[in-house]
Order: sequence, then C-alpha cells, then structure tokens
Amino acid sequence: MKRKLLSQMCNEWRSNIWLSIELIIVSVVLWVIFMFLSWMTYISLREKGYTTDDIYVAEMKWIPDGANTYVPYDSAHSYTSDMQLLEQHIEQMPYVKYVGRGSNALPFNFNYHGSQFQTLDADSTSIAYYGNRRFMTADALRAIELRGRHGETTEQLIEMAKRGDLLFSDGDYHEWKIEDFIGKEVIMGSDSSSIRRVAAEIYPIPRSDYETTWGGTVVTLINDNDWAQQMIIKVKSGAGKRFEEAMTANEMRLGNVYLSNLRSIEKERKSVEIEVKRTRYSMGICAVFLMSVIFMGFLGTFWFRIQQRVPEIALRMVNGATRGDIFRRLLTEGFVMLISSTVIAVIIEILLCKYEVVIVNLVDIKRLSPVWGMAETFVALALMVLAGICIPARKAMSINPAEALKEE
Amino acid sequence: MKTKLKQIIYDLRHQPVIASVTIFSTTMSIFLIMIVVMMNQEGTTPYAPESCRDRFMLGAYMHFTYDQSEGSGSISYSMARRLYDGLEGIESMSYMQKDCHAADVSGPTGEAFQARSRKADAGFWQVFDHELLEGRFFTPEEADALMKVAVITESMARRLFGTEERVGNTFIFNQERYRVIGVVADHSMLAPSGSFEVLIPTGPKDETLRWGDDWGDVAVAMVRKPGISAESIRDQVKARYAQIDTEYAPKGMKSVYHEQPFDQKMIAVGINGSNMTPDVEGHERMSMLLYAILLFVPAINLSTMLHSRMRRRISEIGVRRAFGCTRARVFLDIIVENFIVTLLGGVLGLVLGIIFVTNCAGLFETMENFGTGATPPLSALVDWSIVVIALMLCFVLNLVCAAIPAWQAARENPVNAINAR
Amino acid sequence: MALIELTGIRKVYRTKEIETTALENVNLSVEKGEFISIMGPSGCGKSTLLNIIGLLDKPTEGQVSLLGENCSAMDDARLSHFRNANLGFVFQSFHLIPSLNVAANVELPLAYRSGLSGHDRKERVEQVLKRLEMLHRIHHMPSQLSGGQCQRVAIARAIVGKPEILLADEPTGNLDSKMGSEVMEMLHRLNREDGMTIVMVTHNEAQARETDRIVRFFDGRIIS
Repeated sequence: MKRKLLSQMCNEWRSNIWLSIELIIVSVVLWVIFMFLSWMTYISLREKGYTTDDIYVAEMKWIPDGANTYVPYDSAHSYTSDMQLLEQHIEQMPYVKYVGRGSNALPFNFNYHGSQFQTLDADSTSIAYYGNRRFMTADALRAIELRGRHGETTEQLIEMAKRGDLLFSDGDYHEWKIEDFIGKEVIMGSDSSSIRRVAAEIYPIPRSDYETTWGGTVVTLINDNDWAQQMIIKVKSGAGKRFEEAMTANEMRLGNVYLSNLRSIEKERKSVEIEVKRTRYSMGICAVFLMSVIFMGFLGTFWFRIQQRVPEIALRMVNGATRGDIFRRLLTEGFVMLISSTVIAVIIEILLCKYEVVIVNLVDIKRLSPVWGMAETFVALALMVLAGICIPARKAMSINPAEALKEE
Repeated sequence: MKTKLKQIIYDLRHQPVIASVTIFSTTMSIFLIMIVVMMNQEGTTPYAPESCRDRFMLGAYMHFTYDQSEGSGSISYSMARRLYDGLEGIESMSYMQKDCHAADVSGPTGEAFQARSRKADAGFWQVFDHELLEGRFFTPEEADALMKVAVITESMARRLFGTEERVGNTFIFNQERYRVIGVVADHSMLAPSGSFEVLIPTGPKDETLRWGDDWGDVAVAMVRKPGISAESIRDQVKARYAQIDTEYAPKGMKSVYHEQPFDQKMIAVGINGSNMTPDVEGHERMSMLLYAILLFVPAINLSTMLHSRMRRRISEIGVRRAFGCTRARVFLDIIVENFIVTLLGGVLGLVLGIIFVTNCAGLFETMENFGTGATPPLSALVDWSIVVIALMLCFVLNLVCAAIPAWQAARENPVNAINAR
Repeated sequence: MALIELTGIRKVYRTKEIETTALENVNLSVEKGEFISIMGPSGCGKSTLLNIIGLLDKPTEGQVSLLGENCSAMDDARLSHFRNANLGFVFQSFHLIPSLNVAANVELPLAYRSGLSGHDRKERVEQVLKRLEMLHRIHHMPSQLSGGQCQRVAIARAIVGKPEILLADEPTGNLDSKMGSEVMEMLHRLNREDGMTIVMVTHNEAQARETDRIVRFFDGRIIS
C-alpha cells in the first residue's frame, strides 16, 4: 500500500516537485522569521535586574549667556550650583523618592557610548571587552534599583562604584567571557594611565526591552558637581500623576538651569514599542502570507488532483476503502512531501547557521537554539498542509462511487 | 478580445477553487510588494517641502581616526563651511540642524507643550519650498544677528495663539521669548530634512550649535543645479577632505570619508551613524530579496494552478491545433490569457495596497516623527510610476508562472490532446 | 494528380517496452469530390490514418501529399496554416469548446486566418449556421444543445473556412439513429453541392455503403 502511494506520487512528480520547492523556500524564510520573533520574545522576557517603574526623566538645559532671560552670575553661583539647587529643590517635593542625574543612563534612548576595555595581563590573543557606558549618580542607581548578578544589593554596588570601581554586565553576540573581567583591573582602550577595577557583574541595561545589548553594559558613577544630560526622578509608587501636576513650569527652572521635556519613562517605552511593533507586524504579515501561500498551494493542487482521480477513488471505495482510508491516504501524501521538504530545509538552515549567513545578524543562536524556529516552522506548515488538504479531501470523501463510475 | 474575456470568465467560474487560489495569490503578492514599494517610494519621491529630492544633498558628520582610537559626530559651523562652502554646481544651500529637536513652547493660550524645532539660516527657504501663509521668512541679516524670531506652522500657530493675532505676537521657546514673523502651511513630518514646527534662525555666531572647533550640530543642505551629478559634488568635497588631512596630519588625525554629501537615496536608507556610510546597496539587496520571495513563491502556486487549468482544457487546445492554430499561437494565447487574469489580481492588489498605505499612518511612524503629520501626502506614494511598476510586476509574475505550463500545452501532440480526458 | 495521395505509409508507436505497428505500407489516393469511408475493427489503425491525412500526426515512413503538395517536410507553422486553409475536422464526441458559445465555436478556424474583418467573419458564421439550420441557437452554449445539434455546430465549424477536404471520425458514433442519419444527410449535401472531398471513418455498414467508396482496414493494412 505504502509502496503504491509512493509510486503514485512519483507519477505526479511534476506538481509534487513544485510544491516541495515551495515548501523548502517557505520553510527557510519562515524559520528566519520565527527565530527573529522568538528571539524578540526571549529577550523581552529575560530577567532585568533593574526597574523603570515610577521613573521620570527630563533633559537638563541651560540658558546661554546673552539670552534675553539670562540671569547674570555672581562669584558664588554658577550653572553647577543652579543644577545642585534644582536637584535639591525637586528632592524636597512631596511624592519624590530619589533625584539623580545621568548621561546615557537609562534605556529607551538610542545613544551608544561604546568603549573597549582590556585586562592588564592582556596579550595580543586575548579578547577585549566592549560595552555601552552608562553614567549616573548614586541616587540614579537607587532609582533604577540596579542589582548585581550574584546577589549584590544596590547599596553594595554603590559602595563599589564610589571606590571608583566599574560595574560590567554580560552581553549578546560577543566573544569574551565575562568571568575573565570580574575582579580584574582593566584599562580603557589603550590608555594605560588610568587603571580601574571591575568590582561586580550587573544585569545588562539594553537600549530597549526588545533590543540585545550587543556588548555589555558598563556603569560608571559620576560626581555631585558633574553636569549630566538628564535628571532622573523616582516618585513614590502610584504618585506619578500628582507629581506631574506639581511640576509646573516654575518648578522646572532654577536660575539659568531648567528641565525640558519631563516625561515618564513609561512614555518613552511606548514610543520605542511603536517601532518594535511595526517590525513585528511586518514580519508577522510576511509569515502569514507565506503560510497562506502553502495553504493555497495544497488546496489548489489537491483539488485538481481529486478531480482527476474521481474514478480511481470510486474504484477504491467499491473495493472496500472507507472514507477514513481515502482521507488518510491524501494526508499521508501531503505529509510525505512536508517531511521530505523539511529535511532539506533543515539542512539549508544548518548551513546558514554554520556559515553565519542572515540569521546571525538577527538572533544570537548561542542563546536561542535554532531548533526552536525549526519546530515552530514545522508545526505552522503542518497546520497549513492539513487545512489545505482537508477541503479537497472532504470533496473526495463525498464521492458517490456508483455515480462516479457510471459517468466514466 | 471580447470572446477571450468571456471565455476567461467562464473558465474561472467553472473552476471556483482554482480560480480563487489564482486570484487570491496574485492579489496578495502584488498587494504586499506594492506596500513595500510605496514605503520605499516615500523616502525618495519629491514632495513639499522637499520638492527637489532628486537634486538634494546633505552634508553631515565627520569621522576622524587618531593614533589609537577614533571619533565621529556632527560638525561645527566652521567645519561645515570648510567642507561645503562655495562648491561648484550648487544652486542653493543652507546651514542648519540635521534633525528636529524637542523644544518646550508655550503661548498666550497658556498651553505648554513640546514642539519639533530646527535651527537654520536664511538659505533654508531656497532649499525647501514651504508655503508661506502669513508674514515673511527671516532674512540673512536677521539670521546672522541671531534675532529672536521664529517661523511656525499653521497648526502650531493655532495651538499657541488660538484666534489671536499670530505674526508679531510672541511665545516662549525653551525659556526664551521669540516673536513670530511668519506662518507656513502644515506639512508632513516625514520629510527628514525640510520639516519643522518651529524654525529659529541661526548663523556662524551661534554658540549653541558649536561644541568645539570641529564639532557642533550643523549640517549643510544643498540643491544641485540641474544636470550636475552628485559625483562631481563629491569629488570637490573629497578634495577638501584631503586638504584637512594634510593640515591635521601633525595632530595624528586622519579623516574617514563616508560618501558625503549624502543624496536622497542614502538619506532614505537612514544616516544613523556618524561613522558609517549609508548602505544603499545592502538595502536594495534586501528589498530585492523580499520582492523575489513575495513574487516567486506565489508564482509557484500560480504556475501549478495554470497547469491544472490547462490540463482541463487540453482537448480544446488539441481542437484549436487541428483547425490551424500554430504552437507559437497556443503559447502566446495562454500567456495573454493568463496576463489578463494576473492583471485582474494585480489591479485588486494595487488598489488594496493604496488604500492600506494611505490609511495606515502607523506604517510610517518612527520614534522621531511619532504623532501629527505621520501620514505622507498621497502624492508621495502614488504616482504613475507605481502603476507602471505594478504592471511590470504583473507581467513578470505572469511570465514566470505561465511560461512552463504554456510551453507544455503548446508542445502537446494534437492527437493526444484532442483525445485526452 | 489525386487530391489526397498517401504512399508507403508506415506508423510505429514506441514505448519503453514495446513497439506497436499501427499502419504498414498503406497506399491510398482520393480524387477531388470523392466521399469515401474507412471501415475496420477497433484498433486497426483507421483513426491513425485519418490523423495522418489531417496532418495532426506524422507517419514514421512514407509520404503524404495533399492538393498536390508534399506535406511531409512542412514545419509546424506551415502545417498549421495548411490545416487551417484546406482541412476541416468532425469528431465523434464533437469537441466543441464548452466555454465558448455556438458563434465563437464556429468562428474558431477563422480566428487563425488573416485578412478577414470581424464583420466578414460574423457573416460567414451566420451563413454557415443558417445553412445547417442552427442560426436560432447562435448565442447558446454547447451545454445547452442536444447531441445532434452539437454535431451540426461541429460540422459548421469544420466547413466555415471552406476547406477542400473534410475529415470525419465516426461523426455519428455518439448519436442516435435519427440524428445520425440527419448528420449523414448533411455530409452528403456538402459533398454534392459544394464538391467537398470527404474522408469518413465509420463502424456503420449502412452509412458506409452510401458513400462513393469503402476502404477496409485490418491490422494496419488496407485489405480492400
């Protein structure tokens, strides 16, 4: 029986080959899409080790000398003193928990302050660490409740950072091992004059919940009189709305320093998500399109095939084949094609991984196994093949053998 | 032709499943491709205020390597001048900020909000065509003197001043008071170089755009004279890079040239990094791959479906051959007939695509232009070239999917064909 | 010179396993205006012979010449052109195109002929349908016609191009006897009135006897 099915499939080799080619191409493309979508889900679900809840940010700006609203300074005052006073002023407001400052400190801004570090004992073969540098004050660290990977509390991390030590995180798509750097003394770039110690491993702070960190994250503490790009404000839980109302234009300016574009970080997150969503949607639409192509292909091909095979099916029925037998036979035909095409597709996919084509730019396959995408693709296509065959199969099963043979 | 159409309709009606698979696949294929085409089109088709996109160029960024490290970023006024001032073959130019920046504004209505602001010199009004509704543009003298004046858009004016007088009235911009001297028509915020809600004059003395001798926040927008190639401009700029290299050599600095000034194609692809050349070719390769998948995968289905339809009509083909139809004519007739069916699906796909794109601002929203004016003007998406592209795609799709079945049908021996079931 | 001249025709069908000889050394000549019938048991090669005369099939050996022209060396385009101009076909199962109405079916041979305006074609179609008393059905689809009517439309299609030779492969095979004799009557009229040369394959002894000459076939050879 099975042999006969195969030889019958060989007789219809032409349309079978075409369908198989279609299945192979679609399998590979779907695999890439599914891997990418799975990867996005995977990174958005990773443990974060910091929080952006109840956090507000504002750009810190200054009014230049010569502007019509500039207030001239005496010797005791400066932009720095204005900045510190403004910070203290906001700290004293109700609803506010911490006020810190930072540059490139928080996610959802798309700067990348890339820096490279090497251990002191590095030779020409050792691999350098690189990461996105995030600068913040101790209070900013408290605001985001940054934790160490190995159980260090925020306060412990601040202690380390205050000693001048650096905090490193692991990253994606890199070749170094984070263990090689923790507890070691490092220099930045090739500047051997300033040596600093890496005190602890922290959780990475990527640029968004859907983006990988590429390299790691390097947190560096800044001093109380250092200027920073942003003011970072942590409000008491649930007090956001009242805080926003309290922050009138008057509260936002002190001397020649003022805050601009105060917004909750949640708003930033949402606007980042618009782009992420668009990428996901377009990928999703592409996947749905390709799946429907397979569905349509099987529907049309099997429909025609059954039209051609009416006498054969009628004859089988006369000879005792049940409707279930007819259906199983058609389904087997479809799945033989799907499975053989999947085998070829998987070989192509393995080659793509091995020779680092396409997929490595989208997904870190060291962290998310390519098998996930292969399984998802197979299930999706199996459903499409099943659905595509079901409709013509119902028609086949409803053939009345007596009438069909008489027509012949 | 009428007979042919009638026959096609008859044929499709009597094969509803195969006909719907055929038309649906064609429609989906053309629909998705046209969306991608139109989204790409938006980046390069000229529309106000960027009506000169085909001759537009943008000079931005500088990239230096030092002994051990490197640095890149946007440039100062003086560096911009050294690189781009007085180039031959330039019709108009403007020193301006490359991107819009969020600014805090408030006016007599009392509402305080964020507006997209840009600083530029008076050349801006020649490079970009903004429709002036009221008042005037600022002059080169006003720009050089860094006067506290502003040109704003119609909707910005409404939000700031309500029904009050606009031109001559003042508002607060980043804690400073500015006077409105002109109001321009609203325009799409998708125009990356020419759009703004508030435009503030700037000049060589503007310290806020200067971060150092070489670095700052100045870009140069240029429109080439008609007939002047982008390459001839780049050649001049390259020479200036070389000059800078000789001068900076003692400091151990060497410039890296990234095909500046960028043309509109490069801008559309995205000039996100100051240390990289926009990858137009890579983007085109990806687009081509996408088109190929969207076109050829359904084409396999279409081809199988056409083959099925032709098998059903094989005896008709035999009869036609008996009555004097040549092989070539059989082939041609099938191609033409299939082209009509493809066209039907293609037109459907194109119409759906246009409806979708013009009603789906979300397609064009990015973090920078999120919100008002995210929908590009219809004229930027739909012009004759789109119809021609769709038509060509249909033709390619038709040839790809019909060639093999048509050839098979034409090759069939007429005797076997007539007697085939 | 005879209108149809077959000399030394041999036709062999080859598949992977076997070789079947369908025709063996067939010589036949038909004069202009003759109405001949070909008879013989099933599978004796009658239809193959008709297809070779109709230039739809090529003999393995031998020469076919029609209207004094040697057709063996013609390429596809010339063969098609020749068929279009000089040959008409009537099939046992009519082979009307189901997706075309009567008028379009009849017009078919004219579609492959150049130099005829749409108006000319329409006139020719109407003329021929009127002659076969089918004008009232001109806009019907084949599925709406009876078997006899279908065959009449098929004959109309075969003669609309005014061919010299009409080839009929069991034209009454799918019809009842009343309709069958109507169709035969029509063929005789065409032969008589238009001087059309007709070659007909048939199983019907009575119908065959009404024709000018009977060619009997057995196992790929002419036996009388």
